[in-house]
Amino acid sequence: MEQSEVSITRIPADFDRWGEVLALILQAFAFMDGIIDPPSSAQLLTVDALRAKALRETGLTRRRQDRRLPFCSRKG
Amino acid sequence: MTAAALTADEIERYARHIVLPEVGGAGQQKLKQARVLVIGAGGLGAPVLEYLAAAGVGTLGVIDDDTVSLSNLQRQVIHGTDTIGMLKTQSAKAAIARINPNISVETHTSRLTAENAPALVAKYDIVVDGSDNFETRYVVADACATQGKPLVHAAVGRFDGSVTVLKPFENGGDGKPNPSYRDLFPEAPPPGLVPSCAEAGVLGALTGVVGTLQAMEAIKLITGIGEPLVGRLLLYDALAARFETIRYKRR
Repeated sequence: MEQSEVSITRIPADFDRWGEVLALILQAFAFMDGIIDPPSSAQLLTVDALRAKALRETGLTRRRQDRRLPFCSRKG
Repeated sequence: MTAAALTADEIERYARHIVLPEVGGAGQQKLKQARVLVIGAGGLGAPVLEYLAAAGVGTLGVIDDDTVSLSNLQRQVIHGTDTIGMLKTQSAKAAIARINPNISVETHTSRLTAENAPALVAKYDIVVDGSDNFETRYVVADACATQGKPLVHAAVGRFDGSVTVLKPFENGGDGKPNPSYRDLFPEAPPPGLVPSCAEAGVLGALTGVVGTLQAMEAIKLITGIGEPLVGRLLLYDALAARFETIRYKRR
């Protein structure tokens, strides 16, 4: 992936695709399912928890071409 | 006197070990006879080499192809301002000689590759990985697995670290094969995804904590005491001052 194809911006206040974010996170950690004990803390995440986390912390969106791939980063 | 027998000087040097019933004279002799290969003389390798040298591990192999630079010194405490520009293998060898002249140091000033790793690993009893990149971690883990050598693995970044012990060539207490590094991390992340210490930063004392945990695991493996971190990943969150352990198993 070339750097020029990616732009990073703050998650807008009206962002409403938290279900897709949760699915992305669960998919990313799926390879650990059944292998580690206790299970990944990703299993405890919910759409509401993600939304609240984005309010508490600084949420960033990485946009590649016409796709939008969100992720969160710690505040401070 | 056999090669493993301790001299009067060694008995005095290691008196605080020998007085421990779990170690004793027999454990100290095992340390003296042991051959440990340390991958990298950097942030993790520094405390590993220092503590294993002080503990009396008879032969320490150290592989590193880098030279000491000023920005290494906030964490790589085996090196000093006076060794800037020197090969890390030579700087580490000189430091070990100051700590404990009884230790034989074998320097390997080269980069570990899939081609040279199996033969090098085969010459040692235990391997401690203090490398700073995924490519080397997989090379080390694969070589140790095929050569049947216990591997003490660790990784650090910013304020967090992890340690585990890999013995995938043996069965666990449940009769099932122990997990390998690839069971924990099936494949390396794409290049550039995980930032290096140079990019993300690392607190120097963190490498001291985690590297010292690695030295402790190596000493446990050599002397056969305690419960090594086989099938367990120890996580250290320095900011929260919290340790957590995650069990993992073969896929």
